[in-house]
Amino acid sequence: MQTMALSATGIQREQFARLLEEHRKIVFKVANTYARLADDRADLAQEISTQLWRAFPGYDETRSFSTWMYRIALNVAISHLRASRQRDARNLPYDESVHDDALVDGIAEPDERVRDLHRFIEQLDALNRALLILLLEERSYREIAEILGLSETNVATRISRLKQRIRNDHSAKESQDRGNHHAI
Amino acid sequence: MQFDDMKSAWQTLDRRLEQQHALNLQMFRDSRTDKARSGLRPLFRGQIVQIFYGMAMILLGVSVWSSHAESTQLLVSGVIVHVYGVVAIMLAGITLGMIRRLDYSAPVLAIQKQLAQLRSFYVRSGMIVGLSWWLFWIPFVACFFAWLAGVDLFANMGGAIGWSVAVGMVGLLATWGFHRWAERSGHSRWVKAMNDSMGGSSLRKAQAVLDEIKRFEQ
Repeated sequence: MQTMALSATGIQREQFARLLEEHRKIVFKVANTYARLADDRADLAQEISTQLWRAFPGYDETRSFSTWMYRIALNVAISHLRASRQRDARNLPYDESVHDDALVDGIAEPDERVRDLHRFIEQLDALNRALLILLLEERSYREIAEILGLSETNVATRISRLKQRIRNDHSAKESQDRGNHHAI
Repeated sequence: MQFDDMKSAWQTLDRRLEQQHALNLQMFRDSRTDKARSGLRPLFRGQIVQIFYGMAMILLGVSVWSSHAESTQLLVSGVIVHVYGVVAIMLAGITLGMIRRLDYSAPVLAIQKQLAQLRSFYVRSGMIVGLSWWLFWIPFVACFFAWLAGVDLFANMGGAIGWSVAVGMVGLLATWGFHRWAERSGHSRWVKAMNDSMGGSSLRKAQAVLDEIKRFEQ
């Protein structure tokens, strides 16, 4: 009996490991969006994976694995962000020299769009970051609603506000760049 | 940056992730997840400690009210200590129940709301258990001496009991007044630190999270 239980756990572990490997990018993307430093990201990715494993026995196989995974990953990441902000009461503003994504193998991030994306993400609160990830991942309104626990209408409203914020940010950056150019 | 640029930057990051190392799956194969860090574990342990603390109070209260029925003050003190113990256990039990109900696979907003409510409840219940000592120490000390040496403190203290109650009331009201006053902005760091040590900042943070969720839902 004990052997059967052990093998069932073993099968479950293998099944989980396979699913996690297939969807590992979700874990990394969420960790990269919510944690600033490499060590912190690695910790968060591991924390998400651990929480996924703990919750796995309750996973309903008739439902989408990615939706289930996004819920857990985002919940863990939001809590992690809040806890790390409390730890770091100074709440330092975004600094590219500190942010690891500014550097790839010691070389400054070559892609300006990636830099701008990280700068924009840093300005967002925890819930809007979740919305942005799901939007950039091209998830349907229905799935976003299921993951966040909002109505589809509310998701549409939140997305339209977020897109407006992106446009405003773009206009502000453009006028700032023009100002800098004139100053030179 | 336009939304399309953002999507293109996201795809660039997506391609980079292809090369990122695999997650540490060894951890699951070794069944070591129980040892993994859990943010709520200290809170969980704290509640277990509070349950034992409540049980000690109940034992003390019961031993005094059941054996000193001749003294009304000791009888009442015993009942107060007993009730305090029950309340401490109940508050810890509710907090543990709230922790247990947390299901991280539930929708994000629901869980974040539950976490903020848990934090708020935990801080408030801590305040109830802690601040009540302004007055609770009187029946507690009376019970403790009655249990330890069979001494009736009330018979020996006379008017000092009235003064102790008055000081306790003033202390309790002063703490509450200080908390209300310190919640307003424009105070020194010392005032803020004092208030934060009483749970003020935790309550504020929990409320801020609830407000953030409310704004997001609108």
